[in-house]
Amino acid sequence: MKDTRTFLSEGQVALLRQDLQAETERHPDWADLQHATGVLHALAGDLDAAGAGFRAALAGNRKYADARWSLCWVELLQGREARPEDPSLEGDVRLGIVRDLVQGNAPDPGLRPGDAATAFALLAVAADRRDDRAAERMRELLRDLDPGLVDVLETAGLAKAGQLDLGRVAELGRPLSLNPGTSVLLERAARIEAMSGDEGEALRLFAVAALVRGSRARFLLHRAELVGRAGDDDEVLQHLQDAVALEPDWHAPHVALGYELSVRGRRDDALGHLEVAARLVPGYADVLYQYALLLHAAQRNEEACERLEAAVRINPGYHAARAALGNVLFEAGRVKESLPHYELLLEEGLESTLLLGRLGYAAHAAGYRDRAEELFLVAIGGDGNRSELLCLYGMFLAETQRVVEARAVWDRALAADPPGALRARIESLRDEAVRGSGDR
Amino acid sequence: MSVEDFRINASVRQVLCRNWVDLQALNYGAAGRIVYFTGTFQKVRPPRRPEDDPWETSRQQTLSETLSLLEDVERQLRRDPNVVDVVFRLENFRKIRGKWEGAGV
Repeated sequence: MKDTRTFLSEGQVALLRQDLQAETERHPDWADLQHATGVLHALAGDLDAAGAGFRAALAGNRKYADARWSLCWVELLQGREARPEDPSLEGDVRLGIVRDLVQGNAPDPGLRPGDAATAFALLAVAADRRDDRAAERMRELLRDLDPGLVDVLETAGLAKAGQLDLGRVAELGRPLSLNPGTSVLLERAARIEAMSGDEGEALRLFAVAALVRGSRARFLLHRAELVGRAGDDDEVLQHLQDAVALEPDWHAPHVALGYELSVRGRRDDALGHLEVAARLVPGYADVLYQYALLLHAAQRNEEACERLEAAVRINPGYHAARAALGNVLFEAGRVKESLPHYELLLEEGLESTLLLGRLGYAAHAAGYRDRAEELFLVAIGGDGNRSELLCLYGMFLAETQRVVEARAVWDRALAADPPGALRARIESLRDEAVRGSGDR
Repeated sequence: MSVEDFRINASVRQVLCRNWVDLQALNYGAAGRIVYFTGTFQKVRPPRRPEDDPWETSRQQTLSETLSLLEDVERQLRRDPNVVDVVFRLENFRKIRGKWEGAGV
């Protein structure tokens, strides 16, 4: 069973096993979790426990094809005759191929178009058996099926060993090649390696995870993540642009590229990518929220409101989106509508003195003067030196005909050394109030 | 202001990534230049064999490391001139009189 353990270190497997075991005890009916735990047991060399995990996954979901398939793998590796209980799998070409390979018969792939994962598994087995001719054949098949995956393999092999080591990399992905759910574990393990300073190993694990998913763009996103940590911004941008070009219908590269472009001040380009992402996944609250921020920045406030309302409808506990909705509504003059969103944030314990101040000013603008007064007093009591808060409080005082107090508060705000734009605004408010009161 | 929030989100993500914060259980986002965090704050943990490290020692060490990381991340975020406030409501940590503590510890 050595070959099933090589792609994660023993420490990684122990850690992930421990995490997943605890989770499966908490959620015994969660088939995906049982399946992932089974995979980890297999990686640790415990085929009996692995088989039990896959059976538990099947008990949770009788139609779980991956779990059925994994169970076949385990049984074949244990020298048993694998018998998938579902008759639809009995004649599955993949089972025949693996059975032949495990039993030492000559491979006769007969692959389905697009079944790159199977080709990958076959390549791994051929490499494992040191059957160079079979390995070469599988490599050609894989190249025909998905040239992008070969590219990932080559990149990973080169990154790790300084030379192309295709068989080695393929071998590493063997036990997972048909289990897409476990790529999350691989990505987590890759981050652990990167944190320990072994970027080559991290890249290799990210590559195997990308292979499992059949997505080269995923590999490029992770590569950008690693490069970004090293601070090479141009390379990050290039990887993200390549990822978008490779998989234009996947939202994640669009969002990541949007971030990078906005940091470079290319707001309109960023907006274009977020627009695409939101169209691709209209049910993702996070994407809608990020898109809404850029819509608002482009003065498309009604559209921003619609996206934010959708985001909090999808995920009512999405506090950043709720706060943004409160702000956008408030700035659009829909003050009364903004109040419940701010209030909800406070009820949820997301208390900020500045948020209290904004809520106070919103309450005042909506005609609730006593509530506004109360909120400002709590906010100022919490942090009396915050210039933006003092600016709002001064506005409230001035608008409730307490100009002298307002001026004193604005002076305090200026003494708190606000940033340039806020300083100019406070000075302008103060001068206007002075002119209005006739006090020169 | 919203484009600043978008940029703040990008920079928060960068800070979290560089500090190896596990993003899977943590929600964050900026609105009006206030950054909101909810969920569970934890670090991507290095491999540690349970048999080499007594569970309780390991748990205490993890807690203490995560607390320092949380303080450090908060400091880094507050240093950003575009960020006016950072608000947390975490499942596993809470701030009591300005000091972070493990929830239930």
